[in-house]
Amino acid sequence: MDSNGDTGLLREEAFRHVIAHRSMLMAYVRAIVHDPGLVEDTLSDVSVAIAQSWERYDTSLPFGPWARGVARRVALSNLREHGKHPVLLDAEVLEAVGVEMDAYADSGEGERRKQALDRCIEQLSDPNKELIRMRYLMNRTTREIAQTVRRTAGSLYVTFSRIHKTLRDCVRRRLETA
Amino acid sequence: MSDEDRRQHVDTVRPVMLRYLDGDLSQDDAAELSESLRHRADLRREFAELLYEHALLAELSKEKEWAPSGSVARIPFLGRLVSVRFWLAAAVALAVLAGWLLLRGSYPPPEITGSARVLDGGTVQRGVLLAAEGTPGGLVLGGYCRVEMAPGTRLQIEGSERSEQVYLTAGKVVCDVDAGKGGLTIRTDLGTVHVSGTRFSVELLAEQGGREMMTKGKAIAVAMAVTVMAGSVEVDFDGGRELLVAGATRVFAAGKGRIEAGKPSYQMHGEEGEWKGRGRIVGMVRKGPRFEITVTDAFGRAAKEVESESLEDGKKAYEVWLAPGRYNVRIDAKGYKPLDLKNLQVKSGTDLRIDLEFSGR
Repeated sequence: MDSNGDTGLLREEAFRHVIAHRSMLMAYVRAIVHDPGLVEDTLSDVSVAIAQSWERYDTSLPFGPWARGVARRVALSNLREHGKHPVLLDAEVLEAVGVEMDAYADSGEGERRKQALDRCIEQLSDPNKELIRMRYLMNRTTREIAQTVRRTAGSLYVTFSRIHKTLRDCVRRRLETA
Repeated sequence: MSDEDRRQHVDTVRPVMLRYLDGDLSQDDAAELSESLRHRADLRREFAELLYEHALLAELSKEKEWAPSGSVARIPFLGRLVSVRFWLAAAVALAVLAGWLLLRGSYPPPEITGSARVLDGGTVQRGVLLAAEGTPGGLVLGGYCRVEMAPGTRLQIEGSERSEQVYLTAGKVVCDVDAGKGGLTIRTDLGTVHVSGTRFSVELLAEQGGREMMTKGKAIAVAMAVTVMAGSVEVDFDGGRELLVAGATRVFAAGKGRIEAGKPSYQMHGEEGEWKGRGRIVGMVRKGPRFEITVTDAFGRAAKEVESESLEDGKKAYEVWLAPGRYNVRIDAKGYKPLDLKNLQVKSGTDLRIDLEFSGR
């Protein structure tokens, strides 16, 4: 096979890995890049960077830690380019959290979890559903939402914490009974 | 530490994790969170789950096309990036995008017309205060929002490209928003109006016959009138959201009720059982609506949020269990001005009783 064909196959293999681990990568990028709009851009850049450096990846080693290393480099570079300097957790702590994320990436039940999450959102009360819509679908920050709904940001963080817990329990029940 | 204690600790830290993800955490608090995550596997799992949920929610939002008009265009879903053909498609798309950007030119800055002027002088830009005196003024935002300012109107330019926003502090604005170009939000102290492609007006009404109540030079509006001439608008008011369609006029009146706190008193219970290492803020309400209590610590971090409980005799009560320390408490009830109680000291094994009284509605 010619070198162009080899490169094409390698890139396809790289993208297959990216797609299989996309939720993990998005979650990891989200932990560094807090701006949802920039998360999308960064994730695209990460997938390209992984494809470009695929030849340097030792396939006998787990994909997660290597991909997160690439993702971290790209994410920090994008933050610099956009003049953003968010407060970040320690790199080793983030990697330790990333290892926990591998459990989800390897479980192969991402699509089922997503569908369960969708159903569970529908079961939320209308006010909580609206909060989820504003926060995650309209990409507003909690402080912006607090201004809109005339509550303190502190109380909204607690409310979102409860909503996440409710969703988590609901998803778990659905996955167990399915 | 028991399993229950661990769960409670995770519940306490989760809002801090959400703050971190919002970029709303100080360097010191992030360092503290780092240390907690470094030493606690259950917190790392919790954070990983939270991040994973964010990722799934982001994917769901794209599949459901729930993103509002005026939001930034999204990058194509990664699932499409599987083929070498992607590179060709991406190159073509980039070329088209570059051409479009060249043709489109830069985003127009805010412009004022008529009697509108910048209150402190200087150029028209985001953040400045504008006023229209004597005769009507106008403001054009992003080239697609035309805001007519009635005489006596005061507002501040906020927002960002394609998500334009003004903070209306007095007077009336009539807004024309071209469809498909972006959104416009009119924010007031009473409520918020969101639109994307419509014509509508927002007027702040003062207490009596147009006479404005003034506090520190700022008019206090007691009601907000919204009229929709075309399209529809969403109005956020008093914790709820209402959709108004063309032809509708609604007056949203501010609640005038007052919440007052009784004299605080302490009652010791000892350090045994549930009181060990904890204290409580409690109180009764003889007559009043359902209310919500938000407790923040000395650093402004959310510590607890509880709702009132209805008792059989029609009274209401609340209780908040807390670790000993100093806290700020806010009481919110629909139609009432929120009450803030500052720097309350919670002592171990002790009730801090503060009764509440609702009046004026």
